[in-house]
Amino acid sequence: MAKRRTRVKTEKTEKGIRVTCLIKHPMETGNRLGADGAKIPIHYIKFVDFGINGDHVGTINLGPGVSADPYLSMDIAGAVSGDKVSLHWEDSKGESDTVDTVVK
Amino acid sequence: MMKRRSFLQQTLAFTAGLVASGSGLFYMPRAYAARPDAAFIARDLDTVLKEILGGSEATMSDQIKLDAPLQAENGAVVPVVVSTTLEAPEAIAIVVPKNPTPLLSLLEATPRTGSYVRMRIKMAGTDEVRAYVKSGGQWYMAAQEVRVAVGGCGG
Repeated sequence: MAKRRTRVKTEKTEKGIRVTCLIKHPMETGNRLGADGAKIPIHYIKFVDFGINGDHVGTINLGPGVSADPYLSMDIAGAVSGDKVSLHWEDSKGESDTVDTVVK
Repeated sequence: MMKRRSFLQQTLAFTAGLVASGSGLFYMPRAYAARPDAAFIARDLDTVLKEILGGSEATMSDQIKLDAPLQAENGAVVPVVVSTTLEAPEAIAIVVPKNPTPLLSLLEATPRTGSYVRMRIKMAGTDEVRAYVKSGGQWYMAAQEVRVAVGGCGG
C-alpha cells in the first residue's frame, strides 16, 4: 500500500480555525481511458474525518467527481492555539492516511 | 528530506500503537457511520436527491453563499466554496446535476462545523452547481451556473 502525502494547515478565523488539507491522490472516476485504451479503474477518497483533541468534529464524504489531489477546507468553531487537529481519510481501495497538526 | 522521514516514522509509530491497542476503529469515532454509498456512485440526479434529501424538498435560501466561477477554462478543476449563516447546519451536499456521478460531496457536520467548506470539483460541462444545506431538519439550497470550456470528467 503506497503511502500518500497529506498536508494540513490551519488559519485563524473569527470563530475558530479554517483547516485546509491537500491530499495527493488520483481521484479516478472510472470513466477515463488509459494509454492502452482500457478504462482506468475507479479509485477515489471516500471520506476525510476531522478531529480536535481527539473529538470528531466533522466528516467530508467525497465522490469520484472531486478533482485529483483533493484540496479541501473546513471551518471548525471554537478551536484555539495549541489544539491538536487530526485528519484521517480512507479511499475506495482501503488506502488511508492520518495526519496531526497543532494550531499555531 | 529529514522532515519527511521523521513524519513517516511518527505515522508508523502511531499506526503501530493503534494496532497494539487492539482497537479495530481509528481514534476518532465518526458522528454518523451511515455514509450514503449508493448516492455517491448513483448516475442519475433523482437517485442522488432521494438518497440525500430523503424525499423532502429543498427551499431556496439566501443564507447559503455558493462561490464558484462564472466561467471555468478547465472542467477538471473548478473551485467551489459553500458557506452558510443558517442555524446549526447539519449537512452540506454539493451536487452537479449533469455530471456522470452528480453527488460530489456530503459534509456531515457537528455543532462545531458546517458553516464553511471549500473544495475543487470536476465538471463534465456547462451546468449548475448546487449546494444543499440541512438545518433544523429542513433542506435549503443555492445554485449557480458555471460555463465550462473543456469538460473534466471523461476520457
